[in-house]
Amino acid sequence: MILSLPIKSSLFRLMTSGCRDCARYVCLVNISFLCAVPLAYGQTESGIQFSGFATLGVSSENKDDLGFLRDGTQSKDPSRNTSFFPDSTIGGQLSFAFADDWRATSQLVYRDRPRYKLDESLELAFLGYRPTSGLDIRLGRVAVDMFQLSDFRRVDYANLWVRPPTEVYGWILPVSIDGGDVAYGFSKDTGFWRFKLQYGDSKPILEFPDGSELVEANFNDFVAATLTFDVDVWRVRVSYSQATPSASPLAFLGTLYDVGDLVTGPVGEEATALADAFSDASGAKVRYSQASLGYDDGDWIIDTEFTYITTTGAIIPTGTAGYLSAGRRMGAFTPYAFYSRFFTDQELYESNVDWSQSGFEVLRDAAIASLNGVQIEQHTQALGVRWDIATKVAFKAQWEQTHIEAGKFAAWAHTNDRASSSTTVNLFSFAVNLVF
Amino acid sequence: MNIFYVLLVMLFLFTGFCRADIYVVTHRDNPVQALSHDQLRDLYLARSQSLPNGEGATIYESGEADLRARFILSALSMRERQFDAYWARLVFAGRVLPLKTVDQESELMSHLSNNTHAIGYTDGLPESDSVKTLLVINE
Repeated sequence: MILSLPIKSSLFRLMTSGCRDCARYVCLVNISFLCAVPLAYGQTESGIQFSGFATLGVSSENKDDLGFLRDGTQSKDPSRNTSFFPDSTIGGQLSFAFADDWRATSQLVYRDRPRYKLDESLELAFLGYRPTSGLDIRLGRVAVDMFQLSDFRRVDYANLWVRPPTEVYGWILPVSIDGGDVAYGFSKDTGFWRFKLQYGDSKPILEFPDGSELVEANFNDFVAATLTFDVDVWRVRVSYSQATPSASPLAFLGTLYDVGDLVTGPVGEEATALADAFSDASGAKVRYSQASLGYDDGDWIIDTEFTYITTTGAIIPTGTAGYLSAGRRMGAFTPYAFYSRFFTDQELYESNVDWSQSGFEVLRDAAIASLNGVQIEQHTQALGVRWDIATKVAFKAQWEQTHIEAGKFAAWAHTNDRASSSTTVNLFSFAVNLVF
Repeated sequence: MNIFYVLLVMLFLFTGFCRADIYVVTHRDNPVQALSHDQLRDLYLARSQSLPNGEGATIYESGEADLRARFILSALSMRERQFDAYWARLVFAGRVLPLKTVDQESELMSHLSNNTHAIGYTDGLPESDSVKTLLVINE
């Protein structure tokens, strides 16, 4: 969960909001275009292509007071144990090529969300232009290209596991941005290089950890620079991205300041300090660095990825996250194992003052829960098998054991009481993936 | 015994002749005369959307399961499901348009005869005069 306050209104902000409006306009044009062109052509030979992906998945964990989440933008129910919701997904994509160098693409994805709106289910809607070989420009709603698997993380058929490791992919909130990107790729000797720059804004919707309240977050001025290099059976990717997250001000923030002003002594001082922690998050930047190495010779599939997250004050999970995965193709079966971990670099905020006489204990607890509620510290070891049943259809079974440190449960649906002690969770998942 | 050895040698020779090469073909008026293995690989892995002369290419893959699997293995050194996962990433990330598939060779020939920049592959030397071979893949 990301909580900070609305920010600046500088000239730069005006300019970028203009860019965002332009991107949203392109989204609208894109959809209209995809609808209108088949009618104009009056036939299906016009170049429209329909494709899609789907997952029917069920997952079950053994803790009554924890709910498994595939990522933070899903509905949160701590009492959920066995569910089809986290992994089941269906996505449809319309693509249309025209005038040799242009294309329009829209993708609608139905999956578990805190709420269902057409605009939020529309995960891609852009116009693409290739002026020269290797150069690709896209404007509209494009997939966030933050980490190695970010821009296809819902397409489980494309990945070895039931889902990308949650320690690295469970807390990335934006799926797509309204903006655009420019990519340039070229082959040299036997290798292939690709550079990409991306810019835009995103408005992910999420819930409090116990599912009690909806939060409309913003990822403003998202910028990502990516370099990938493919050679033979190896793939290397490094990237840097940053954004300015914000969300609606918390209802209790004003009251905290009031307590700070009216109550003298340590309680007032701590109330002000807590309120400042939220206010300081306003306009703070979050920075993501990433490096990954992949190997796939047709038999062995080995992947590792490391990410480093820092912030200048935003209330988000920060630290180092990564995974190491290995699988071996044996006929139609691919058994695999992975280990993933999120190391936080934050300490839990703890009150050092006795508030019992003030009458504001509940307020303090809510503020501290909000500050600590974003923290993640956990590691997972997993075993699984992928069975490619037929062309473009795969079945997967996976067992994960996750150890979660006390107070750092942000990757799970939970109540504040649950978060007070560490625990180990066993998660069993089964899924059928297909693309068409 | 000698006849047995002669028959055995003939069997090996016959098997060798029966091995079907894969022919990468295009319209006869396409100015490009040949493709290298690396250029073909770049096209079918969507690393390049252009022919060696810089003009855009439209590539087709076969819907015939056996031919498709052999092409992916021989030309791209990949397993079929590895290739499918690779393309799923590209398509649903919005990086490229989906591959166009032709179910029969006659359908491919129809596309090739209408588009000078279309490229596909066949199981044998094409009989049509309207197409030419850019590369022969020896399995």
